[in-house]
Amino acid sequence: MSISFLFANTLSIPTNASAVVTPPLTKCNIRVDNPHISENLLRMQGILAVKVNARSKCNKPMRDLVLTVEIYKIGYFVDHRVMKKAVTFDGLVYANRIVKNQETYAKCDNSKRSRYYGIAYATAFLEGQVVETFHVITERTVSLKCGN
Amino acid sequence: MIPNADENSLRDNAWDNRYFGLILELEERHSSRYESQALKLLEQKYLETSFEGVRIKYKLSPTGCSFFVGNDDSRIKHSSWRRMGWRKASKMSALPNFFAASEADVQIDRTEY
Repeated sequence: MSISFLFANTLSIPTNASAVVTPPLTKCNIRVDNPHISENLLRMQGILAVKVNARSKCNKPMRDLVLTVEIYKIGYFVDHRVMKKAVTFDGLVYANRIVKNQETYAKCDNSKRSRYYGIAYATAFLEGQVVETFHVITERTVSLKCGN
Repeated sequence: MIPNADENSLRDNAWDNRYFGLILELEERHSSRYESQALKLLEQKYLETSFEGVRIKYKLSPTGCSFFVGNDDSRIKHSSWRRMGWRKASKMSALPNFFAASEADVQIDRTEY
């Protein structure tokens, strides 16, 4: 399962007529997959690792998009961040182009069962101003045999 | 483990093969350099290297390590932080893969997304 979240409705154009409601002009969203054990890493390299993927899509062209994914492990008192990865897409990102961060993974130290969730967010230049998304959390906190 | 059965899952095996394959290749090819870099980083807490003309900066924190890829400080291309534990030994064993991942960031072609 994955979760989508609409954001960046901030670019609706303000009008002088206060009674007129302007619908949002920008539809951008981030989707973030639930944490999972990377089957590829396990199969190909025998490495046990937890991975979270995210993607961003916007109906407006953007510049210099930075898509960040963080993986957290649930702790007794506080949750621990185990990995953070920010990927930059330099220059113009065309409207409706899907950009992905599929590079966020954390190796497991052992097979002790632990619970994980992920957070994704992005920043970009959109119509001349820096726009930052809300932080989107994975739909589920997933219990995995991955001690960290 | 809960399988990710979502048809719209973002998983991409082709990308994973390419990305993790590159990290593995770099880790094998540069194992001795990564080992000496790890020792230096553990001692100095900070390290600056260059890979294929691109500057990579590493910074050690008490529980992990960060890297910043990019020649211009005001325009960092990629960055990452990974938890490695408090112990020196756990950092020493995690750092080679971290170095390889940072250099893979320089080499990998993301235009095929």
